[in-house]
Amino acid sequence: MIPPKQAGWLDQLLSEARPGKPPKADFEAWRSTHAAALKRLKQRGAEIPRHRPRWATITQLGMTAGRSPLVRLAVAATLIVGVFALVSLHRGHTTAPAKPTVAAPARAPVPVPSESEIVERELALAQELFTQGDGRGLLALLGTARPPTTVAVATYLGQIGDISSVPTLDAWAARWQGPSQENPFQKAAAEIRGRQEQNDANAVALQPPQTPNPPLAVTRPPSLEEEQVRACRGVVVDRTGAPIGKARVWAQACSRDLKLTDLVTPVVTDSRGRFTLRLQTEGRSAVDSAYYLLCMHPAYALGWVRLPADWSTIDPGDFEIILSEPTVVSGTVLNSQGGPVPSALVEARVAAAYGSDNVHEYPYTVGNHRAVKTDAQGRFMLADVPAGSALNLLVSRAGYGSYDSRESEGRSVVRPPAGGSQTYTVRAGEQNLVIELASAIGRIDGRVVREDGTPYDENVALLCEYVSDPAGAVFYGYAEGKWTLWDRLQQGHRSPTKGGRFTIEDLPAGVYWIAAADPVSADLVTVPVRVTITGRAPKDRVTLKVGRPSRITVHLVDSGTGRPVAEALVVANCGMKMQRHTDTNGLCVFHLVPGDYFISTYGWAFETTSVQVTSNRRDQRVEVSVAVPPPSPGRLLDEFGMPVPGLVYLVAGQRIATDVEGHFLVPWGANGSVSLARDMTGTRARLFWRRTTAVNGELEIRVEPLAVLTGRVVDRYSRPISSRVAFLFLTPGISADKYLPIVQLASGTRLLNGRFQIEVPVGVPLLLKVTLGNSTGQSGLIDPMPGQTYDLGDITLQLASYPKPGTGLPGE
Amino acid sequence: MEPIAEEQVVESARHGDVESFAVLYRRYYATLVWLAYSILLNRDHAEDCAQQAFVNACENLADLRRVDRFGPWLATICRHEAHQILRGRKPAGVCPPVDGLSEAPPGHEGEDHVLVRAAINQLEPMYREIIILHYYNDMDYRRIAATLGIACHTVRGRLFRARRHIEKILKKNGFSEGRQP
Repeated sequence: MIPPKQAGWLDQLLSEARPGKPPKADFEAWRSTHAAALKRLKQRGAEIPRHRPRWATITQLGMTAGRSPLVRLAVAATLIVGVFALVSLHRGHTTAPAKPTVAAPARAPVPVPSESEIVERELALAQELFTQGDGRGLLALLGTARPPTTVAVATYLGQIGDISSVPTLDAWAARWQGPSQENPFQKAAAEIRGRQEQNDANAVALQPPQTPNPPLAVTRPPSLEEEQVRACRGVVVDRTGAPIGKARVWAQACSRDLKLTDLVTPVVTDSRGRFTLRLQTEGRSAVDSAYYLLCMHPAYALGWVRLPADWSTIDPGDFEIILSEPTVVSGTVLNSQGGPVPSALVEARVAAAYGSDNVHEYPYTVGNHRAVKTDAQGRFMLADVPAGSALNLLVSRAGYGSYDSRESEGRSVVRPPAGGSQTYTVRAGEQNLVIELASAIGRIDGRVVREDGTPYDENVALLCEYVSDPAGAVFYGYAEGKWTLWDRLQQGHRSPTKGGRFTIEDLPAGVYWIAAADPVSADLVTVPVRVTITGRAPKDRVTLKVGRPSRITVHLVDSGTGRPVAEALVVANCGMKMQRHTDTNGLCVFHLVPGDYFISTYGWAFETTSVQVTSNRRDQRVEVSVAVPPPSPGRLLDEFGMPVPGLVYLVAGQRIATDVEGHFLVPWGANGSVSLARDMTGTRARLFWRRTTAVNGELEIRVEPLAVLTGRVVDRYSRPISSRVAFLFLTPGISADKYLPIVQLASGTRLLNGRFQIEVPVGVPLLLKVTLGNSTGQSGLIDPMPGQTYDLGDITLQLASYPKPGTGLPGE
Repeated sequence: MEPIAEEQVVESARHGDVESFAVLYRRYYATLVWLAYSILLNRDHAEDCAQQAFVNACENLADLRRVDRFGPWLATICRHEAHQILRGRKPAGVCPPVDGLSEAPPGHEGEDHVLVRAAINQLEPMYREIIILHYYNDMDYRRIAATLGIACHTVRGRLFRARRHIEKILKKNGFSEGRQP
C-alpha cells in the first residue's frame, strides 16, 4: 500500500474499510469459462496486419506529440508569427527590392568561402534574378557584387531593366577602365534607353486619334503586349434575351485528352450582363486544345461558347453566352443479363443549348467533376445540363464494352423510349434512359508465326474485326498493347510483339476476325482467323501464320467498249476486307496471302460485280468486265448561246471539266438527279436536272448570271441574330416538302445584324434552309431568275424538333 | 510494468496472443473489480462485471486503435457493463442494493467501517471511484490517472474533495476523531 503523504485517521479508516479481501485475478479460471472470447481474440488478431503502415506510426507520433502542452504552445506561436508575416507581406513588403538570401549562421565554425566561390554564388544569384525578371534585385546586386559579377549583372539589366536603372548604370559606366567600346554598363544603359523610346512611340500610337486619319496607327507594328493579350468582350443573356448580371465568366482550355485548364481569373458580369476578359494568346494553339468561354450563375446551368480555332481572329466584341435552366439526364446502366452495372463512368459531350452551334460542345468529364458514376443499382444522373441541349453520352467500365450514344461501336446498345436504334442523341431533361453494356468477357491468346512455325518477331498491326453486330463490322486495331480504332492504326501505330505472342482482353461476346497486317500499308500478312467468343467459351487461342503474298492484279474494263474503268473501288474480301481504287488504266494491285478471296468492284456508274480468286503463291491477273452505260454528251453555253468552258458537278462528288468549246461527257445516263454547271469564272451557273432533254443527242446547259438572295435571320422573339456563323443550305424543290437530290450547296455565312446575302445558281426552284446550332429556319420556295435580287424577309429560327432515334441532326 | 512495455503487451494481445492478454488480465482485474464496485456497490456483482468486461475487451481488442489508451478503454468498457447491470440487464434478484448500508459487513468489522463505507457510498460516482481505487485498490495518483485517462492533478483534486466530503458526512453522523481506532 502506498500511504498518503500525510496519513491521518481518515486515511487509515478508509484503507481499513475495504469490504472483503483484495480480488484475486485467476486468469485460468476465467479462460476456462470464456474460451469462446479468447478464440475470437485470436481470430480477429490474425486479421490485423503485422506491420503497421508507416503513415500510421507517423500519425501516432504526431498525435502523441500534439498532446504535449509545450508542442501545442509552439504550434500556436508559429501560427501567430505566420499570420503576422502574411499580413506584413500583404501590406506591401513584397515590393521591397529582393535581398539575396543569406544562410542562417551555423553554430559550428564554417570555412570562409573563397573569392571564386563568392563570385560563383553571385553569378548564380544574378542568373536567377534575371530568370525571374527581377530588375530591382539585379540593381541591388550591382551595388554589392564583386567586380567580375558586375559585368554579367549589367548584361542582364540591359535585357530586363527599366529606365530607373539607367542612372546607376551610367555611374558604373563612368568608372569603367577598359576599352570604351566594350563598356558593358554603357551598352546596357543604351539598350534600356532604346527600348524605352520604342515603348514611348507605341504609346503615342495607341492613344486615341487626334486627327481623322492618324498615319501612325496604320503603319506601326503591334507591340508585343498587344499581340499576346487580347480583350474578349461579350454579354450573358438568358433564353429570352434578358441580360444576366453577377454571372462568373472565365476561359478554359480543353486539351485533346480532356485536361481542362482555367486560363484567366473569372470576371463578373455587370447589370447589363456584359463582361470583358483579357486573354493571353501567347503559346496557345487551337490545334492541340479547344478553348471555351464559360459562364456560371447560381440560377442557371453552365453556359459556354467555344472560341474560334484561330486566336488571331477572335472578334473583340460580342460573344453571346446564353444561359439556360438546369436540367438533369438520368438513366440506368444494365449488363447483358439485365442486371445493374455499378461504378460505370458516365460522361457526356453536351452540344450547347439554343443559340449556339453544334461545334460548341463542352465535355462533362472527370476533369471538371461533371462526369458521374452509376450507383449500386446502376443508376446515374447527370446534373446541371442546360435545357434544350443535346448530349452524346459515353458510358464505360472495365470489363464491359464501352457505349457511345453517337458513334455506337456495335458493342452496346441503348434502349431509347422509342426503341430499336444503335445511335441515339440524348436530349437534356431526358430521364429513364436504359443503356446496356455488353460484358467484355473474352480473351484471345495468340501468336504470329512464320510458315515454318518459328515466331514472327517483326512489327505487325493486329486487326480484330467485330462482326457480330447487325449494324455492321467495326474495325479495331491492336497496337502497342492497346486497342485502338482503325483510323488511328492508319496513322502508323505499330505493335511490337514479343516472340510473336499477343493477348487481346476485354472482348464482348461475339464473332471476330483476327489477322495480322502490315503496319504501314495495312495489307494482311496472314489469313484471317475467325474466333467466336461466348459466355461458355470466353477464351480462345489462335495462331496466325504469315504467308508469302502473291501479287493479284485486277483489271477493270468496260464490257461495251473495252475501255478501262478508272476510279472504281475494288474490294478483296476473305472475311476481312482490303480495298483499292483502279487507276486510269483500270488497274489495281493486291498482295494477298494464300487463301480464297472474293474480289468485288463498286462504282456509281455500273452494277457491282464479284469474282472469286484463289491466291496460290503465283502472280495472277484478274480481268473484270462491267457494263458501263454510254456517256451523255453535253455542251455548256452562256446566256447568249455561245459555248463557254466550265465545270459540271455531279451528285457523286465528281467534277467534269469541259473543253474550250464547252463540250463535256456525263458518264451516266439520266437518273433524275440535279447537277450544277458553272463557267470558269464562277459568275454564271445553272442547276439542271439530269433528265433535261438532249438536243440532237446533246445536253445544252445554259449558264446564266447568279441570282442574289438576301434576308434576315431572327430568333423566335423576332430579334435579329448577330455575329454568328449560320449555315445556309440550298435545296432544290418541287414543292416545300418534296426535295430532289442535289450536289451539296452550303455556305457558312456570318450574320451581321441578322442579315445575310448569298449568290445562288438559277435553273431550279430552291429552298433556303438556315441552320444555327440546334435551331433551323427555312424560307419559302423561290425560283431565282438570272441577275435578280430577292429579299426573303425574316427567317425565324425554331429549336429543331428532336431527331428521332437513328436519324442525324437536322442538316446532317 | 513500464508504459512502453504495456503498449507492447497490448499490441501483442491485439494480434491474438493469449499470454499477453493474460498479463493484462492479471494487471487490470483488481482495478476493474473495484471500479465496478464503485458503481454497483456489491463485490460479487463487481467481480462478475469485471469478468464480463474482459470478455468484451477480448472480443473488441482488435478494434483498439491507440494501444497507449488501453487502460481508459478497458475502464470505459467496465463502467458501461456496470451501468448495464445497474439498469437491470441482469436478472431480477441480483439487482445491486441501492442503499450503501445493505452491503453485508464482513464478519469482524465494526460500526466504524460500516459508517465509513456508508459515507463513501454517498459520494458522487466521480469521487467514489477515485476513493475506492486509491484506498481499496492501493493505487497511487499516477496509476489512477493512467487507468481512468485523466490528469494526475485532477485525481489529486478529486481525492482531496472526496476526503473532505467523507469527513463531513462522518461528522454529521456523529463520528468524531476521538472515536478513531
